[in-house]
Amino acid sequence: MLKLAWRNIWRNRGRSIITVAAVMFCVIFAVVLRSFQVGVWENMIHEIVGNNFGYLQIHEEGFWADQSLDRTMDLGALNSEELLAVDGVDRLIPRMESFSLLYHGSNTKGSLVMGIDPAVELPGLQLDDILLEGRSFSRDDSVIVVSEGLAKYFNVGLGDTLLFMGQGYHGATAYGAFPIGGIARMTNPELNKQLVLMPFQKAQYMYNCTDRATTLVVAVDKDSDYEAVGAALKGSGAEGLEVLEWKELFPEIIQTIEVDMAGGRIFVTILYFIISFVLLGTVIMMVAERQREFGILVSIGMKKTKLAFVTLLENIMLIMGGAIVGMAVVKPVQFYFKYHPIDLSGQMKEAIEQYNFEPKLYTTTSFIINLNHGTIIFIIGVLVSLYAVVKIMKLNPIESMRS
Amino acid sequence: MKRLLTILALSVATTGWSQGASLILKKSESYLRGAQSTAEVTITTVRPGWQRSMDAKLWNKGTDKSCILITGPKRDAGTVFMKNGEDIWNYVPAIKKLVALPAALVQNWMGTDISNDALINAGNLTLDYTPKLAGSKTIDGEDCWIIELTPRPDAPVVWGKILAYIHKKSFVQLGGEFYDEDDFLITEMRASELTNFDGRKLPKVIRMVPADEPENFTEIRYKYVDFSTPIADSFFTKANIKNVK
Repeated sequence: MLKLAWRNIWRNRGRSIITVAAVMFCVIFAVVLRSFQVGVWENMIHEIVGNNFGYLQIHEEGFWADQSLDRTMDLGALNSEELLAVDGVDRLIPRMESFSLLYHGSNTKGSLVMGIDPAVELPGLQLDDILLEGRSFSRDDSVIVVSEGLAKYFNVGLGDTLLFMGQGYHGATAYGAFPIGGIARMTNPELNKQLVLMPFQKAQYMYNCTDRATTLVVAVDKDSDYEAVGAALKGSGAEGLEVLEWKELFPEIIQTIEVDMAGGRIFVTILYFIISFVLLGTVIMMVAERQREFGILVSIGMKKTKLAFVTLLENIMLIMGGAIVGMAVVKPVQFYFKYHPIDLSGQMKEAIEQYNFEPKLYTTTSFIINLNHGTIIFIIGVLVSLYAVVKIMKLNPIESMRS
Repeated sequence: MKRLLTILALSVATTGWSQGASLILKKSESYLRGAQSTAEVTITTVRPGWQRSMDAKLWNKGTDKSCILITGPKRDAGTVFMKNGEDIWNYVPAIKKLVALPAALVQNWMGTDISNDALINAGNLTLDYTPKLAGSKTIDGEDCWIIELTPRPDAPVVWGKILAYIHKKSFVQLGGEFYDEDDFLITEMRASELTNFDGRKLPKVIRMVPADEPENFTEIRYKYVDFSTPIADSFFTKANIKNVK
């Protein structure tokens, strides 16, 4: 019977090709669409969250809620060995993060100050990779690195000195004057406008937080799942500390993703409707074309159920073929755009930058999307093929042969 | 007629009392201030589980000139706050910057419980406030006047009301309460350990306690007060601010 179905497929190549092509393009469109959508988010989370903020952060209990320097961690009292012993924790990256008013000449601007030790930092803060000009610093150096946007705002270059005025631990004054040692481009456009990177110890001193830190970023081992590590950290010796996942740190990102995903799903659903009717069209066409053939087959004694089954098999083979080809064909496309993202320009770029995202379209290479959409389209195909089955079961051989 | 008399009597009484209050306050302030004074203090800010001390040197002359120099810790040493008439400056050596401060600063001074206002306008309340005698009170066994101060209509001040407790015998201010515009108590001041400084009996310790966080407080402890060494007017100028020692 399989053979029969196989032969039937090749009997009318044109029709078969149309069906296969319809399914194939449908899979390709759906997958490309979703790949871009998921890919952009995947990339954003990886770049902005994973490489800059870290998937997991540890603070003094309550710090994230009020961001006050009074809730900084005492690094001396911290049981870092216990934290490092947790499975999957690669290293702990201390940071001193706060705000400051910057002065240069008669210009002022509010800024984010991040005291870091580049030697242990995440990839997004590896100064050598993000510097446009100038040099990196060590943890107790005396120069700062400013973001591109800030340098542009103050119209300053290497060697110029920026003045800092802010508030430190328990209301202490946090004043400082630092020469610019480098200018860097941050991937996060919001940070690129207002971030100042400062040697960790200098930031501690300026904020009167000697031996303290606002944040410990947990660098997770490459092959470990951060969620599992986070759960383990929460259960370990983290007394008086809060262990937060990026989803808790930046819930607004999750919300934005959810809204965007819902929009994408609506679009794909519309696509599915169109595809369903295209497929239905080919099935109707096939049944109509083969009315006479079906009539003859039934009248010479072929059971209707058998005939219906063979037809269904034909369709399943065609649709499955189309889906598989589609899933396969789209794979290189996904890989291509993952490594060669579409660079947006003009208005689109500005609009996206306003949302603090990198204006580049990436794809995901996750095969689950291909599989999901292949399967959905396959199921639609099979459901649509049931039309042929119903038609055959209701077949009146005499009438059909006459037509 | 009777009513008119009552009103007349009352108004005479209030003006009389108000003058009395003004006199008490002026006496108290001039006693505290002298013609000029130089002092050294340690300012300790205490929070649950944490505290910090700062050393400072203070200069005062007349009613409108004052200067504060932070001498320790090293991190803040050299910071100067100076008031001359209407002008208030803050010099920050860490950034070599001179900042003009507004007359009415709501925030607290350098993370302490002392308001900028209280510090800068200390001993100069008669200028911006109208005093009224509001009764008597016993503080640490000492009989004190209660002087209620309400700001003059255009005065650049942050408080809605101040209650000053002034020792009846020595005219030393032993306590105070600072209220905001909505009549909520914000800070309480307590002076204690009356000590002889350069011939005058003055409190050695002044403690400021924020009303909403009674476990926090800031204590100013005087090391010495010198009323006799003269200070030149040119000391309190912008040009001199970097040379204050």
